[in-house]
Amino acid sequence: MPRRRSDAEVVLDSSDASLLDIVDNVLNKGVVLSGDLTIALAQVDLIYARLSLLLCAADRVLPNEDPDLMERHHARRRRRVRLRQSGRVATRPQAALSGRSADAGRPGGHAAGRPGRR
Amino acid sequence: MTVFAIVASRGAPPSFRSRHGGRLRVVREHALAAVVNDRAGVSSPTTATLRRYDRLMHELAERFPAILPVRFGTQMAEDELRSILSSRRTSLGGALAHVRKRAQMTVRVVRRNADGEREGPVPPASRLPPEGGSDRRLTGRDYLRSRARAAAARRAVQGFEPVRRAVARWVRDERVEHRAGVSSVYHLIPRSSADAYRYAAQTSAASSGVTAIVSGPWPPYAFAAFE
Repeated sequence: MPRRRSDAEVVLDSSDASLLDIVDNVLNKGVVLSGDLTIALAQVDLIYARLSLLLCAADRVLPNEDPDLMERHHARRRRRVRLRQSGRVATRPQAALSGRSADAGRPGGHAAGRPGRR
Repeated sequence: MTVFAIVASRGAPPSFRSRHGGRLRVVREHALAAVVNDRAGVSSPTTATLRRYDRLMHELAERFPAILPVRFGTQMAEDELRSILSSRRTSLGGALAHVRKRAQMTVRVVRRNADGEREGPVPPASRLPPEGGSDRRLTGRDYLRSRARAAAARRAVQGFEPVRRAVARWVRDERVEHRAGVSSVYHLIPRSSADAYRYAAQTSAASSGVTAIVSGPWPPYAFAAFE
C-alpha cells in the first residue's frame, strides 16, 4: 500500500517550492538593521544591546512613591564619606591591595560599595 | 529610504540602475556600504514583491563579490543607517568577509519516525534534560555540556548524514532549522561549486532514500542573520 504523502512533501514537490524558499529567505532571513549596540572583543560579539532612548524629565519616569530619591542618595553619600573619614572603611588603594572589595581598584569602583547597595 | 543589502564600500559605485530600472544608491560608511533607494513607504509582502526583492538580491550578488541581504521591508533614515553601519562595522564586516564569493544552497528534508510517519516539531534545545538526571544541581561543566548537546541536537537531521558527507568538500558553513516536520539545512559554498553541490546532494539523497529537495544557489540570506 503506498505511503500517504505528508503536507510538507506535497508543498516541497509542487511548483510552490521555489516560492516557499523565497518567502523563507526574504521574510525570515537576512540582516535585521536596527539601533543596536554590540560590544566586541577580538572580533567576537560579547554584549548586544538594543538601544531605546527615552528622553524626558526624570520626575516623569521615577516612581511616584519615591519623591526623595536624590535626597536619600546624598544621605548615603554623606554616610560613606563619614565612614571613610573615621577609618572604619578602607580607602580605595588599601582595599585594592587587600582584595576586600571586588570593585576596588577598578576605574569608577567604590571600596565601600556602590550607591544604593547598602 | 529602503535598505536592500550591505556590501563592501570598496569598488561600489555611488549609484546604479537595476535591470528592472530602479535607481539604487550606495551609502558608504567606512569600509561598509548599504544599497538603498530613496522611495518612501514599505511594500506589502505579496508574492510579486517578494519575488522582485529576491531577483534584486540575485542581481546584487552577481554585481558584488560579497553581499548581506537585508530583511525585507527595512526602512530608515540615512543618519540612522550610517550610525548602525558604524557601530556594527566589526560584526557586519566579519560576516561580509565570510560570505565573499560564496552562495547559499538549501536542502529541505522531510523528517520521518520509525513507522514512516511525519515527525512533529523538534523540542527547543533549552528543554533538553540535563545528563544524569534533572534533580541534580547543575555545575558550570554540566551547563556547557548541555549547551554542546543542544547544539549537536540542533544540527542533527535524521537520514541526512550521507548527503552531508557527499557535499562536505564544498561546505564552508552550515545552519540547520527544524520546523513543522521539515528540517532545513543551509550550506554556504563557493559560488562556482553550485552545480557540483546540487548533483552530489541529489544523487546521495536518492541513493540513501531521503526525501530531500535541493535549491539554490541563493544569496547568503541564512548567513546574514545574527542570533
